[in-house]
Amino acid sequence: MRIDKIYQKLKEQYSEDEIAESYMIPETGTVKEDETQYAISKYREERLNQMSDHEKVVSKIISLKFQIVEHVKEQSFSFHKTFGSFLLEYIKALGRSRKEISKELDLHYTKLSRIINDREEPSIELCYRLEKHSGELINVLNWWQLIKKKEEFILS
Amino acid sequence: MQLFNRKKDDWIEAKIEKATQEDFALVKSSDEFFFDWTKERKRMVFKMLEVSKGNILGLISITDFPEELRFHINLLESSKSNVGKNKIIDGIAGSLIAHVVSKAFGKGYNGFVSLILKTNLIEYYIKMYGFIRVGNALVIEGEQSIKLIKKYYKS
Repeated sequence: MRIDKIYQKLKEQYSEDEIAESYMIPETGTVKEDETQYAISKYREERLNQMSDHEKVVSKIISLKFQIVEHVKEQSFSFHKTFGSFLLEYIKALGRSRKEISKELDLHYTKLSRIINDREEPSIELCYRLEKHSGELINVLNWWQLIKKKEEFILS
Repeated sequence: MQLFNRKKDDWIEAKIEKATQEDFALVKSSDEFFFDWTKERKRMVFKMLEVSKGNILGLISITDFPEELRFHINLLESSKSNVGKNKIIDGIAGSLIAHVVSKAFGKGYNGFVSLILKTNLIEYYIKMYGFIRVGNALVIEGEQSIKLIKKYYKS
C-alpha cells in the first residue's frame, strides 16, 4: 500500500496527534524533495558556521558520551578503547592541556598520564570527578561502564 | 532503555538494534505494521525490541548525509498495538527519534536530524520533540536534541 493511502487509512482510525505520536510519515505529494534537501543543507551549513567555540566543545563532549555508550554496548573489547583512551579524547575535546585538567581533577599529573596510558586503573572517585568536570554531560555511569568492560574482559 | 507499559502500570526494558533481512520478512508477514518496510531494506533501519518478549515495537529508517553532518529520518512506525488511545506502551516513536539523535551526536553531527513530514503532523513534532521548520522540512540539533534525549532515552 502506498504511503498516502496508509495515511488516509490511519486518519480514519486515529486523530492527527495520535498519528504523530506513533509515526513519522513523509510528505510525498506537494514537497519538492530536491528543493527541501537543498534548504536543509544550506541551513546546516549556516548553523555550523554560527556555532560558538563553547557550543563546539559541548558538542564534542556529547559526541564522546555517545561513543562511550555505543562502545559499552558492543560485545567485543579493544585495548584501544579503554577508560584511558576515552579520557584522552575528553581532554582533546576540551582543547586543554593534561596539566590543566590534572589540576582541575585534583589528580597528580603523573597519575593522570598513567591512567591515560592504561598503566593504572581509575577509581570510582575519578568517575565522579569527571562527571562533575564535564558538567554532567558524561555521567559517572558512562565512565564506570568503561572500567567494568575492561575488568570483565580480563576476567573472562 | 525503559518504556512505560500502560496496561501493567510498570516499566519495561527495550533495546534498539539494526534491523536484519529476517526482520523485514517478519514485519511483512505480521499484522502489526501498515508500511511495507521491505522498501526501506537498502537504507539504514533500526528496530526497537521488547527485551523480555523479543517482539518488534517499532521501526525507523534513516539516511546518513556525512558531508552535511546530519541524519535524515525517512519513515517511522510504531506497532499497531501501541497506537492511539488503547496503546499498551508509551514513547516508542520518541525513543526511536532520540536514538537517531544520539547517533547524530556520536558521529559528531551535534545531534542534527532532519525530516520531511506530512503537513498536519508538523505542529505535534514542534511541540513534543522541539523540531523547528526549515522550508518544508523539520530539523533538530544542539540543545533541543539534548532535551529530546533526556526526555525519551531513559536507561
